[in-house]
Amino acid sequence: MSGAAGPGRAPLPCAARAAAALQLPGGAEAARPGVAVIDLRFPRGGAADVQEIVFKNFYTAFLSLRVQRAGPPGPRRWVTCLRDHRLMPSPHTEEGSQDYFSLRRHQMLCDMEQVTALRFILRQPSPAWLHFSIEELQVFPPAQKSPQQDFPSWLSQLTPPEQPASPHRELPDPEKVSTEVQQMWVLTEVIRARQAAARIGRFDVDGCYDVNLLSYT
Amino acid sequence: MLDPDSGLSLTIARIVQRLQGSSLHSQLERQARVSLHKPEIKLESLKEDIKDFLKTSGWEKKLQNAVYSELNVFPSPCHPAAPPEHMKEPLAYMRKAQGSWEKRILKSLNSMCTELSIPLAQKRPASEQKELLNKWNEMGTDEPDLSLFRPVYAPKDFLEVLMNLRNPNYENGEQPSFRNHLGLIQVPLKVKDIPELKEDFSELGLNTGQLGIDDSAQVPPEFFENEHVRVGQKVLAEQDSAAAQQYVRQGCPTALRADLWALILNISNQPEDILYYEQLKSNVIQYDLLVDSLIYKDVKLTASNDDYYFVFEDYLYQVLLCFSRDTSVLDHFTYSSATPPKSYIRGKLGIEEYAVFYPPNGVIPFHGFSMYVAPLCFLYHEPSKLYQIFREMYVRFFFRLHSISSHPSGIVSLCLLFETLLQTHLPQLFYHLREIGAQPLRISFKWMVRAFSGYLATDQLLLLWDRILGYNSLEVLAVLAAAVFAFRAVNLMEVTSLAAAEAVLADLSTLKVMPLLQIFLFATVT
Repeated sequence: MSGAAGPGRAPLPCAARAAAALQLPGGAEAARPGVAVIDLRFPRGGAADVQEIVFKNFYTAFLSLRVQRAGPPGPRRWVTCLRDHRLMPSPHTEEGSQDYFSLRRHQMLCDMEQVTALRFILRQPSPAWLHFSIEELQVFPPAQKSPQQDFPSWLSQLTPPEQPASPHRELPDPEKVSTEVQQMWVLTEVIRARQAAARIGRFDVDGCYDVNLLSYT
Repeated sequence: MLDPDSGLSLTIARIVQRLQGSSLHSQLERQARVSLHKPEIKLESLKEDIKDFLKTSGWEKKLQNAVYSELNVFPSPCHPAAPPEHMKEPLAYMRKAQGSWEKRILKSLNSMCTELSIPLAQKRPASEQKELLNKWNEMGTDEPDLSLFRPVYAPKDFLEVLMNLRNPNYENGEQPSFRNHLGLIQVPLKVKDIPELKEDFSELGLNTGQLGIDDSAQVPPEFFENEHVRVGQKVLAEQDSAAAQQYVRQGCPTALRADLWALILNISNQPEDILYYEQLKSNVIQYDLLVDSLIYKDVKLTASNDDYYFVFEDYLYQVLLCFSRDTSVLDHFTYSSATPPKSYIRGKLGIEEYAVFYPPNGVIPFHGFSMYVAPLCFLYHEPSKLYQIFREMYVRFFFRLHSISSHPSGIVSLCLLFETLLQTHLPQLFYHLREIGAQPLRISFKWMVRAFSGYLATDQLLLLWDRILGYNSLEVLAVLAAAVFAFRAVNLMEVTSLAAAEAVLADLSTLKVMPLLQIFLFATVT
């Protein structure tokens, strides 16, 4: 299960700047403010619809997301679409600290159409961690309808239409029977096509299991 | 995280894939085909009629049990973007620590091999094969020279590794602060506190009947025991795994325990299972592994010296030698943080077609490994059923006790849970023991790694393992360890050295497990 792209899903190309920690104006010491920001823009100032955002967490506790959308010319507003989404249930402990997350459109507070820039605001209130960030950020557009399927979909939709009670009670309705049998046949074909996952259980190679030393790689 | 819908469909897809090649699948197909001859199956409503037939004949229940078993064993699916090692262990530094620990074990095994000039594996000559076949039921009478063999590692070596486990992103400063744990484990894993444990283990509460407490001689059996046995027989008649798992939380009656555990672990000892065991036996006869000598040595050192288990010595060989050759155990490495050791056929180093796993099941036994099997010998006398029960217990629970992972039932979390419970609820004792150089984990580690096998009396141990199965978690081991310290706290406060503390806690064979757990969780004044 490596890689997030399924059929028809490729991540949008984008340039993400590294996480920048919040600095207080005039502050000279290297403080650890616990807030960092990652800005993401699409190349050449383009805009795109965003369906899903996938990333790997690295010790970020809460995530807020703001987007800038293409719109009438003039100063662009940042709109908050996710507020303090909890990634680590307990910020002092390891739970969720290196997990993979998905943010989907239906979780957002605003529309994700024609987005020009994304701003990830990362918060980690616990002083226990030295660094925090999010990694492997990928943004996906809405998926296109996939034309391929396992077998023609019309075959699976063969439900017989409602018919009046057959006048011949002894024999079943031939239409109905043939529909059912066709469905059964298609299912059997599908099952046969899939490989069984049964193990054979042999551990030797061609009847030989002469092993000298273990390998370190 | 995965949202509920895609998580559910991923789980369903995985379970379907795993059950597809299984014998249950072919049996269901056969049953469905046989049922076509029955008069109540009509062609117009074929699908519904077959489904009803499977329900009434009990086959749907078997399928339910198989699905329930899969859900219990495999963790919930990861995010599709996560690589496979993420399912084994999400934290990168723990994966790395496990990798270095494994490398150390490999080096140790390799050096033993070269010192003794014995190959790791070779085919047995025909005369030796015949001899072993004749002696199969009495391998304990053999007295091979094992003086040159030594166990690959012991639990205390493993404890040293866990003590040095550090998260590079964690502030492990030199100054004592809230971040530095006072115990031996220094990784900030999430562990439960007593209120959470009370909720999770609510069936162990003071108001619920327990075997181990409410079946003692002073309590008339009408109060709890008779009814509990009746319910147990009903659960067995229904053959429902989920109900059995709920039932054993209050303990198993001795007469029903073997069947209930088999139901929970979904072991039915079909003819094909017996055949599989016979195939493993023939693998033992044909091939000689170095690991066999390690197993022999371990059994001789531990189980044979134990008053309760020495009678089962022959059974232990029959189970463990076959276990080493069982490639189906390799499946559990998808969700374990460990990786099976690899090797190459002699003379074909580096050629991938000749790469094999060694031992075939990928598990190198350590000192005390045979104690995982020994208590089961009291319950099961038929070797193939005993074998399957042990194998299932291993791939569900015991593997977590000797690999480095962040799982809540992994040994690292159990150690941290133990230390946190002790520190929170017996702070004076914890401080005192620390001051005299007797960190409590040094004493309780060996109990937890062996799941208390060999330390408690067998009936008490089986009551404890009832709860492990019932709650599908090993956390009860850490709670019991803390409860034992709480019980002997008065004596421990008076000791002045690690050796003296060990002496106070040397003999646990008189302890009653359930009252200790109940008092610690539900009756301790905080």
